[in-house]
Amino acid sequence: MRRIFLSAGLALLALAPVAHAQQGGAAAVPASDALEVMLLKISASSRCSDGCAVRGLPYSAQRVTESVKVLADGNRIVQRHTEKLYRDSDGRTREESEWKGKPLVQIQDPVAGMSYRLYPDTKTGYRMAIAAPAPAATSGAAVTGSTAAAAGATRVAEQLSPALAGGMAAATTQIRSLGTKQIDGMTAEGTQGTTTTPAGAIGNVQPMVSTAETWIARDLRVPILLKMDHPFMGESVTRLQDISRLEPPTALFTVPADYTVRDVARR
Amino acid sequence: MNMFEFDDGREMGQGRAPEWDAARRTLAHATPPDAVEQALLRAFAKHHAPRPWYRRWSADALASWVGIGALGCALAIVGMSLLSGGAPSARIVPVMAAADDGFVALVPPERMAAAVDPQLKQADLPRAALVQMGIPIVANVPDELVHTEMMVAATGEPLAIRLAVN
Repeated sequence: MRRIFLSAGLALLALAPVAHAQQGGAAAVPASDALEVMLLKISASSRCSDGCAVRGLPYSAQRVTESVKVLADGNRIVQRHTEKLYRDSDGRTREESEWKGKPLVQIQDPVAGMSYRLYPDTKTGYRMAIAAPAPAATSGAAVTGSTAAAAGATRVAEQLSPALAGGMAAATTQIRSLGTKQIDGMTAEGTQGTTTTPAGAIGNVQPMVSTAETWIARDLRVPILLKMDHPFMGESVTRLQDISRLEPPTALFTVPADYTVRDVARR
Repeated sequence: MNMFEFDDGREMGQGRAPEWDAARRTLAHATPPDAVEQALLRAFAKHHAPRPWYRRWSADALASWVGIGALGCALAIVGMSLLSGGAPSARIVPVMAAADDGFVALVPPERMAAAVDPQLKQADLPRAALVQMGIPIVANVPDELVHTEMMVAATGEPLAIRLAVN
């Protein structure tokens, strides 16, 4: 009997650290990570009740953004960055990019209702439950799923131009459909928004014009081409390339077991 | 049969001198004095006293029981992990979100420092546009508006941006 008690005691001693780790209290996010948590919160907040998941249309592709900004002295700033995008049949998405010189993985899992922000170089990350914004601040009623993603995607150009005008009352915006065209073998629907700030509105001698052009791949329900031209922000073009419609591996949408993920509670 | 008799077949004198067997038979029927017998029993009991349980454990026995205990712990931990979710999963640590602060710079620091009379303006921007600006957020709903506060130079040039949940 004494031997049994001794063994049980040893077992409890060994399990104590495990139990302590399981029941640890919630610590605060380090101040240095406040920006990361803010970006995660934006990703995890959607007016769609299911994260506007697009189901049954898996794909993977590269998203390439090239931007050119011409400075007043004639100098030019040219930037190019590439991201890898994945979506499975359940609507889970994964984006691999680079942020502040380090790799970043963002996973949106509408099935589990979680949004992840992972840092492969340190095998750490954050996660937050996907939720709708607070009702008082919501601009519209909750919508669901792919219908919102499909129909709403064409509105990017409509919304972008006036927003970039900085809320100036004198600015005017015109929206026009660009019809459909084939881009990399996919049928895309285009919309263009043009915002004009009249001369003198902000001390400008000539009218200022900014444009936003969006092309949505009809079969994938994703922007396949996005062009933006703004007097101050310069020109930028984002396009999808190397598109594959095969089902991506399931492992891409799960967090590896050797990661430590901090679960962020909403305030 | 008293305590000094042995029935091991040697009574028949096989391999022993007859004097030995005769002496043994004589002693077998002898009874020691009570005092001597008690003294012998006390000495025997003292010499062969039962040891406490903790002194009966040798280093080898202790090591074996520690091994058994460790094996039990390992089995318990494996069992708990199997019961709690099947496949191995990432370690989850709960944390509380910090206050929403922090701007994302849209221009190099030297240009931001040189900006004259910057102002804070609010605008609702589509997620797709924010991603195009290089802000790493999920834009599965490209047209969904995100409320932003933009630090804008007097010339209208956006310097930095801060996002807020709508």
